[in-house]
Amino acid sequence: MFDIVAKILRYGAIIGLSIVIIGLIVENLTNQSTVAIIGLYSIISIPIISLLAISIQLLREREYLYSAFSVLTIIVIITSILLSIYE
Amino acid sequence: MEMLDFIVLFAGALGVGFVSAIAGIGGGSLLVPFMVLLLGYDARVAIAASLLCVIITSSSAASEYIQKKMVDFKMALLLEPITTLGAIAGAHITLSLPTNYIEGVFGAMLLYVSITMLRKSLRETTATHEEKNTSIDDIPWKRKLAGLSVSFIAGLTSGMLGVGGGVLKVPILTLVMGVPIKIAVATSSFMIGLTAASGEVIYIVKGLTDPRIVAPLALGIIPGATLGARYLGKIKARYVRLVFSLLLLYASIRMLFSII
Repeated sequence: MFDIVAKILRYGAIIGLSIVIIGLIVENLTNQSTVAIIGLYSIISIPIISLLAISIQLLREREYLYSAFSVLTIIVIITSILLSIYE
Repeated sequence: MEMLDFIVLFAGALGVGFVSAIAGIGGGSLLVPFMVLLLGYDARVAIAASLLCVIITSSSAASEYIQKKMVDFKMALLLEPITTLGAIAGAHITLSLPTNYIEGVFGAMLLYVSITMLRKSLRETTATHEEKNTSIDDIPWKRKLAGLSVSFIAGLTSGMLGVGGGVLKVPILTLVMGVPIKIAVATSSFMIGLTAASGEVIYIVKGLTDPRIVAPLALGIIPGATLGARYLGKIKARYVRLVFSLLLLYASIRMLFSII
């Protein structure tokens, strides 16, 4: 049922870390740190994407209250990102 | 960054991962003092790097627990919004405090962890009690509110100090919410990643997370923890806990003195 969440967490961590390492190689060659920063953002997005997957699964199971809790958590995180950027 | 720095960070993280798996504590409690006291990094940079490592390690652990159907998602989702708010507030507090104050607060947290570890290693508990899983709907709202309040503090600690906060989350789940210990550890592991991600976002936006520091740490801590888990049965965990609790005690006193 929640196997997809387990997969997102496992492969997401590997992919995110790989992007950071590729980014460091790119940075050494071209002095551009964009790829490494994308890697960092992809690592922090793993738990958030997994939360989204849980929310969808709970909606399908008609567990509206807990689905709302997960959406609320995502909203809090996104609001915090936006506030930090525009601070 | 020099190749030597990369190797030192990698080797340190390997050791931290190994010890934390054997001692049963989160990597953040060891990683931050290692970076601040031994390598001389700024506390904020160490906390930011530690939080990212916490996300990676907890994601791998949580995926295992989810596959074994040990995570109580409803319990995690009930507590997570307030924990997330705590983590965000904690990260903002760290950004606004002077470095020596952050080290002092970290020292106080470390003192608590080291004393808990010391007590655990001195009296080896063999007593087990039967645990039955409490359904989330059966928990009275008074206990839920108590759980939510402590969850906020767990989030605050995580965002502020770069640790997972399992040291608070597991007791909340077992003692307040009545969750069996194994389910509590698994659920806390899932929650830790989310809490750390919400705190880490602030550090990345503020440019405090350096991928050149994070990469060797993450590359070292994962095999270190895997090795630690493998050797767990072969090494006397009690003695490892005893030695490291004393080391942490020393580190906590050094960090507490940074306030003066």
